[in-house]
Amino acid sequence: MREKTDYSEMNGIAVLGDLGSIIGFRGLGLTVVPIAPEEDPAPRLKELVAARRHAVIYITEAVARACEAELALWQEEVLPAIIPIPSATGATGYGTTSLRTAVRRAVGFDILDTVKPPEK
Amino acid sequence: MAVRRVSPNRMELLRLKHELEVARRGHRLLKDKRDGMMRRFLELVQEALRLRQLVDQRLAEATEAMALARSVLWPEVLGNAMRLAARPLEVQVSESAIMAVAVPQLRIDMTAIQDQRQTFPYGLASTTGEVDVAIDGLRKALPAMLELAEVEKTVQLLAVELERTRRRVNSLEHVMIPELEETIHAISLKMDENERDNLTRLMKVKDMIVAEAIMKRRERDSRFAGETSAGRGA
Repeated sequence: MREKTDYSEMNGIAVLGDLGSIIGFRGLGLTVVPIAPEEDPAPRLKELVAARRHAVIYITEAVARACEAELALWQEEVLPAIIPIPSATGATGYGTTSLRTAVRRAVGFDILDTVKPPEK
Repeated sequence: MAVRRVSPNRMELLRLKHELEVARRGHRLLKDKRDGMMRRFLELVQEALRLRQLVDQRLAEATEAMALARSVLWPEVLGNAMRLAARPLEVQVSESAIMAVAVPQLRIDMTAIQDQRQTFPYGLASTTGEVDVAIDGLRKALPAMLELAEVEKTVQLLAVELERTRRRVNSLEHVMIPELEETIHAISLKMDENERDNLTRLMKVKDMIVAEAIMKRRERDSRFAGETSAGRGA
């Protein structure tokens, strides 16, 4: 059995994205890391992960798209969980893409085309 | 399928048979693990899809409210108001296991958020009601977001482990087990062949010995016959 990692220091939540989409989270006590429109978000994301202070890092879909290589890198780590969220311009459906990738990895092919989310 | 290059003897045969048994047992176990994990995995994927929908919807609502707030407030005022914000929100992280895969569990102190509901953590003088609505919307989205983070991370981790297990099962099923079976078959064929070799050799040797014995007897007989006929003639 593997040693349990100590996550007691990783108790924050961070949000990474364009300021307009994420400014509100500051009001809830989340760490907000704004990315300028022309800035490459990958180094910022790397910094955040390397600091090991955040258990969850939410990134806007635009950032997720720009950092795909980095995201794959941390996929096998238990924490932090890096989760794409829609930005202020609305959801582009990128969120389910990472899920699809995971399913394709696990099953061998994409079965979400036929499996629809449960009706509410 | 390639047959392993091993010397065809009884020791190797025993060793390989044992190895095959272990491989079969491992294959069965891994297959069970894969099936169990796949069941949990698909449940979790459904859950993640549901949560993703919920989060998208709640965030869209909150974003709308925030857009409204931004339209009535100077960006600086809004930014400053947010900077004064609440004490950092803390998550409690623990680790649990699904089929021996370590997965995170995230909890936030909901009461901390509830408290904030009463006391908005920024200057009410400089902000308007729209900001309150926007923050409230985000607050509603947060539990679902956290749950989504947990479930999605779990899905990712399970996917990695499932892929690994699937590959192991396949390589055992399609490479290792057939290879072992064929090698065992080849060794038993070779040993049978050796057995027959040996048998024919023995038969041949026996034939030679018998032939020699016959020759000797004939020689003796003919010598004996010669002696008696010579004696009669004398």
